[in-house]
Amino acid sequence: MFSTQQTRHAAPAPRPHSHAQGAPGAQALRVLIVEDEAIVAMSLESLIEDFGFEVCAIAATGAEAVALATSLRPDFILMDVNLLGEMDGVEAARRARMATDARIVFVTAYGGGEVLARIRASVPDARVVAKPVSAPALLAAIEQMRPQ
Amino acid sequence: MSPTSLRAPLAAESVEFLPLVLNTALDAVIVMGDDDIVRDWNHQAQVIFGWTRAEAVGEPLADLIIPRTLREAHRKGLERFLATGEGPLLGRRIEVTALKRSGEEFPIELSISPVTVAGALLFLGFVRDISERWRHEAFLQRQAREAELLNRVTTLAAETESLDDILRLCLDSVCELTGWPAGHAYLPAKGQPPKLTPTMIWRGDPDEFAALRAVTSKTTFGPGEGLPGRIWSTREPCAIFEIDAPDVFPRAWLADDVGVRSAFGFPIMSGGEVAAVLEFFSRDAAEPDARLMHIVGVLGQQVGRVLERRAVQERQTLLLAELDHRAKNMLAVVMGMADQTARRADSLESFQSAFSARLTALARGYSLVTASRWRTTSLEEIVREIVQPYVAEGQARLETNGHGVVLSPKAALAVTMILHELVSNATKYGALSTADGKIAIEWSVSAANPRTVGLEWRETGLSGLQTPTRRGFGAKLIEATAQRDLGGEVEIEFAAEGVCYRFEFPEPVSA
Repeated sequence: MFSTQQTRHAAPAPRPHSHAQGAPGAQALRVLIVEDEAIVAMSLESLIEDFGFEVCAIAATGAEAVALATSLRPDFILMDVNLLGEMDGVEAARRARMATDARIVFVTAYGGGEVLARIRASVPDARVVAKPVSAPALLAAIEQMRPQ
Repeated sequence: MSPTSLRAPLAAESVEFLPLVLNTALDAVIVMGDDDIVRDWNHQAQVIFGWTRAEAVGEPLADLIIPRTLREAHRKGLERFLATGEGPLLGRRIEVTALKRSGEEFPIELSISPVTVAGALLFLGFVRDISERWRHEAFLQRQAREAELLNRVTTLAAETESLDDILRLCLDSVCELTGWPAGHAYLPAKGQPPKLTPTMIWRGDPDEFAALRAVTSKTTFGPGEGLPGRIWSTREPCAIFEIDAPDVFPRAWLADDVGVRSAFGFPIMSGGEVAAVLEFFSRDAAEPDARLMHIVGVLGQQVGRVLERRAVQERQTLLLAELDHRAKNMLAVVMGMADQTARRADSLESFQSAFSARLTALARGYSLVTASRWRTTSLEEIVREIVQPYVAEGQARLETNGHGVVLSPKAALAVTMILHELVSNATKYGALSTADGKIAIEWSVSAANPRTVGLEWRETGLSGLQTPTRRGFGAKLIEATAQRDLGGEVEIEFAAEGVCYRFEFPEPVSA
């Protein structure tokens, strides 16, 4: 019934958005949200759409995040650290970074040095935004890393 | 007192009393001439030095009671006094080492007074055996050293960051206290079978015990094996002197010559377990006394308590970090809830009512999870807490059927939010919005592996219910929570008499 493969099935299918605005003349940034708390994921989705970007998918596990990052090639990944399943967000980000050019913004409630140190070691160019998320802080992190 | 006065002649009547003084004195009294020959020797002198008066009188004093290494200094001192009248040791009490007839050297308190009797220079020596006092003082000094060592090691251990540094500190301190030249630490390794593995944290000259170090680096011990293994099993200090017996000190058989004749060791105990075994080595056949074994045992326990306190502090730090993480996560959920509710509210009043209902449900969910001490919560309890308050009529309108499903904290909170959205929707638009509507909730867990939880919410008693053309926020939240928070699926069936939700998700095995 619920093999590890099927957790991928259980996730919402990637949904292309057509109404995203983005910067004038530029293609809208495509963002993969990795968050296992439904209400937080929905809220992040709304925020990203408010910014004028496109949410290309939402993943709840590390394995799902790596698979979707590889197949959808998002510009950005908003990554939670604590996830359902065995692979956490830091490892998922490291693997996604090896497979794609996606920029990583960690969105985490972990303020401790140990998690930050692991992030620095595994994905040195990632940004970290504290949870609960403030919309300006999230937008600033994305804009700072946005490809020119 | 000037040298001249030291040589003052003894009055004739005093001379008469000299034998009486010698025979009654509690001290040993020795009378020596200026030629170093013994002139008289009382009974106490015989008791202390072992020579009788008959044997001593007429013999050079130096040969009788002065250790060989001090005889030259004695001779020169006498010559100097005779030549100059200066004698720095005269007329006061001094502590020196003396020699017994048996050859044993021992400490004495000595005072020497030169006197002139009938024109002849004599020296009166008064002697006390102070071996006992010295032993006592040495014992007190040792006690003070041991107490200072215990205090210093525990104080420094508390300030020391790593276990390796604490082990180094213990090795250094015990070697310093005992004078034993080398020490090493073994640590219990996790895994099966349990083994003590060498840390190669050593104290002492690396060259001096090179063979022992080499063989130790390759040797592990099970419980009861060799010196470290016996200390590990008995949790007590242990000493060995028969290094040559293979069962006692296996490492002696693994190298040609490990250069060790004695060894002892003790455990560092933390939380009732052996955290480390320290061992010490000597080239000599030295036997640590019972007192030393006791002291090192106490040292091991005290350092162990430092490790225990540290472990407690580390757990508290982790706990605080986890608490911080959970609090922020919960705030993120609340913010998300506020954000999503606000986006869909058509008035401030509707926002307030929907948001506070969701927040209340979440708070109830947290209460349940906290009551279970963040372990597992039964689905039955969640239904009772979240759904029943909305159904005043009780069993007449709400039928529940299920048992044996327990949820991890995260799953329990997710199910709480799902049931809240369902019952809230039923109150507004569904079974609880009409007089005849009913709700049936069933749940079970499959025996298949991996186990799956099935949860069905079925509303009945409505008529002509239309399938909605647009997914509302409640339905979206229910779906997203089932998929993301529970890692499962939901199937929604709209029938004319009411809606039915069927959830399936893997039985949560951990938080």
